[in-house]
Parts: sequence; C-alpha cells; structure tokens
Amino acid sequence: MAAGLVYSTNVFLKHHIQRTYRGDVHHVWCSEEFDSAALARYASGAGVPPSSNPVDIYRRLKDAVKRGDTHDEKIEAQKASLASLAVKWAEAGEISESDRVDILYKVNKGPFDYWRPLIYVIPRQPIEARLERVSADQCAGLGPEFIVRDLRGNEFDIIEP
Amino acid sequence: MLKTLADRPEAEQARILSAAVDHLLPRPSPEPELAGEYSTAVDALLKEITSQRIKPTTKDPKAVVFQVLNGELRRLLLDDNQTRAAKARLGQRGDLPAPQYRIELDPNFRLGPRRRGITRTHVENALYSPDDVQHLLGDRFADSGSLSAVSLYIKRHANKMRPQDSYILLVQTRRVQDVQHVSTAWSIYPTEVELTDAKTPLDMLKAFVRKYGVDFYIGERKADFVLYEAIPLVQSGAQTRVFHVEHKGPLETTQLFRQTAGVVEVAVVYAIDMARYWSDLAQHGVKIS
Repeated sequence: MAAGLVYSTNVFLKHHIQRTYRGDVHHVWCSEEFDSAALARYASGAGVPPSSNPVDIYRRLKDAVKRGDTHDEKIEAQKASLASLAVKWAEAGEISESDRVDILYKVNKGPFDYWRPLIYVIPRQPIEARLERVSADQCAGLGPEFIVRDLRGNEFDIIEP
Repeated sequence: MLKTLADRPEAEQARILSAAVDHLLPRPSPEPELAGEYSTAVDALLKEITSQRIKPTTKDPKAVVFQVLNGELRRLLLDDNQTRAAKARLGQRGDLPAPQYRIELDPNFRLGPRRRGITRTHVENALYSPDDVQHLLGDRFADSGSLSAVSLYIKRHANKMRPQDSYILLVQTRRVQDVQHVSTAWSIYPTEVELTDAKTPLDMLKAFVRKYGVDFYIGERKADFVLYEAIPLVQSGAQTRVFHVEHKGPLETTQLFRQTAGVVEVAVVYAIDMARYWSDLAQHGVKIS
C-alpha cells in the first residue's frame, strides 16, 4: 500500500520562480521517504542514495548556504537550470522577455539565501494519478523516485526548519 | 566568448547553452529536450569548457561547468542596461531583496520621526534587515506608479533591562523603482497599543492608528484610515476641500493621494494626534527635540 506522503527538497528561488512566473505550478522530483537512510536495509525506499534523498539534499544545501559556498555543485546546477528554463519558457512564449530578464536577475544578483532549501510535504492521495515513476536508468539509485510536473501550490505544505 | 558559440546568432547561442544544461542535469528536464537539434554543438561546447577550465586538480568539475554555462547565459541575456531595467521593475513591484533598495529620507523625515529620536541608522536597520515587510498593492490605480506603491517594514527593538520599553519600529515608504523613499516611521509600544491580533505590518499600522488616529475628511467622506480607495469629490461652493481635519492640536498626517476628474485616489491616509503620542513616548523615556 502506498504511503500517505511524498517529500521533495527544493531551493527557495525555484519555488519563488514557479509561484511567480508559472502560476504557482511546480515541477518536483520526490521520494516516498524523507530519509531513506533511516529505513531497514532492504526496505523498498532504502535504495535512494544521498543525491536523491530529501533529507540529504536539504542538509547539503543548508550547509552550503550557511558556509556561503558559492561554488557548491548543487547550487551551481540550480542556477544554470533556472537560467536555462527561463530561456526555454520565453522562447515558448510562456513568459515575457522582461520576465526572462527578471528571472536571470534573481538567479545572478539575488542574495545567497535564495538558495536555501525548502522541504515540500505532499499528501499523496490527491496527486497519485500524476506521480510519474522515474525510469530506473534516470534514478540515482535503486530506490523508487517520482516526478510531479504540475504540482499546485495548494497541494503541499512547506517546511523551512 | 567560447569558440563553439562564436558566429552564431544570440538566440541560437542561448538554445545551445540551455541544451547543454539539460544534458548535464541528473534528472529529466521538465521541458522538451533541445539537445537533439544541437547535440553536436552541445558536445563541442562541453569539450571546450572542459579543456579550458577543468584541470586535474579541479575540486568540483561539474560545478565549474555549470558556472561557465550560467555565466555565458548571463553574458548573453543580462547586460548592464537589462540589469538596471530589471532592478527598477522588480523594485517597483516590491520584488527586490531588501538590501538592494536604495534608501532616501523624505524632507519631512526631519520634522517628524527625527524629532522623536528615529535616525537614518534605525531606518536602515529596519529596511535592510526587517523582521517583517509588506509591499502593498502597487497597481491599484491605473498609471499611479510610485504614488500608490507603499511598503511597510517592521523591526523589533527589545529592551531586556526594561521590557516595558521594548518597541516595534514601523517604517512607511513609497517605492519608486529601486528606491525606497521613507515617508515616516513610528515607534509602537506594545504596552500602549493593542497588537494581539496584529499579524502583519499593515495590521500594526492600523492598530497604531486606532490608538492615536483622529478623524479627517476626504471630500465629504469622514474616516480615520483610508487605504487604496477611490473617493468621489462632491463640488460644494466655490472650492472643494480635498482633505481637512477638524481636530485642534499638533497633528502628523500621512497623505498619499492624487486627484483626477472629481475623484480622489487614495493610497494611504491617516492623521495622528501627536499630543497623545508624545505623551506616551515620554512614558518610555523618549524625548521630543
């Protein structure tokens, strides 16, 4: 039987951009377990490695922001990803040219705590039909991982410890 | 500029950079892949970046590649003019991080808050490191621009030795692009003002006005606090009075409105009975200069 919640860790700026420029519709990568390391060794979610484990992503981002580590790979990847998405959204006519510039401004000139992690706690039942199981070759480990492409702002709670 | 991108139109450079980012991300992109069309260019670009920037001693090579790709997108799409325009646009919307606003004190600041001991430093602390901030509707009225773009900042000042003297500094500003023009500031003492139900800076301002505000008229309309309303003006006699107060005694009024064709568009208006306010400030050791 499916568990009642799924979890996702995302940076503040990604949430802000999706809320402001994408109609509060969020694309998230999520996991059935908040901390796969806390599970029994052979439990179903135990094979999610640190790079996809929500609590490990949270700790890593939090630590990078606290230390002001401007070269952290996860943060650099997020910057490039959001800049790249802004290009694609503008090209597709989904945001204006000035929105694209504004997103690039926030990505490049915003304060470093824009990269702080937020934990999304997502009740599973309302989104069950939209949970896409990530194919094994795309997963970082053996544990199950999911994508929701159109998670609405009112379908999850945010924890910012 | 990277050789792979040279001699290509800017839009194509951006697409290649974007496709290169997708190619490197460890998870499926939410958007359709562009890499197909540009797979050769992406491959060449990543090889060029790796050969130029990655040394055997580079600690985190993937971070460096992401950094270069984002840097190239920034070079292409965020020049100095676009940066200035974005800052102004975001500032007007109240969407700029607090420290990126420039602060200017309105001329009246010396006659009001400064006399009550509130300095520029107090204001800077509140604006650059607020405990809470609320950017009120900037687009309530068509073409009103900075007229109706009001921000409220609060900063708590705890006094451990004399808890009854702890107060909240509320700073009211008018946003003009990336400049915050400081209209006024109030020291609000929770021992004097009922703040139990005040959840936002605007709630705190309203609670403050409930305690110290006096009635005023805009045209024929009597009120003690008006926020974002269009009030019709009734022509009476030779001259129509837009704003007046009957209260006698020292007052500090905050008026932010404009008059258009028989209507007054109000951003925020209230009037404070300064005698009562000064009296309470004196209880907390504040001297009025």
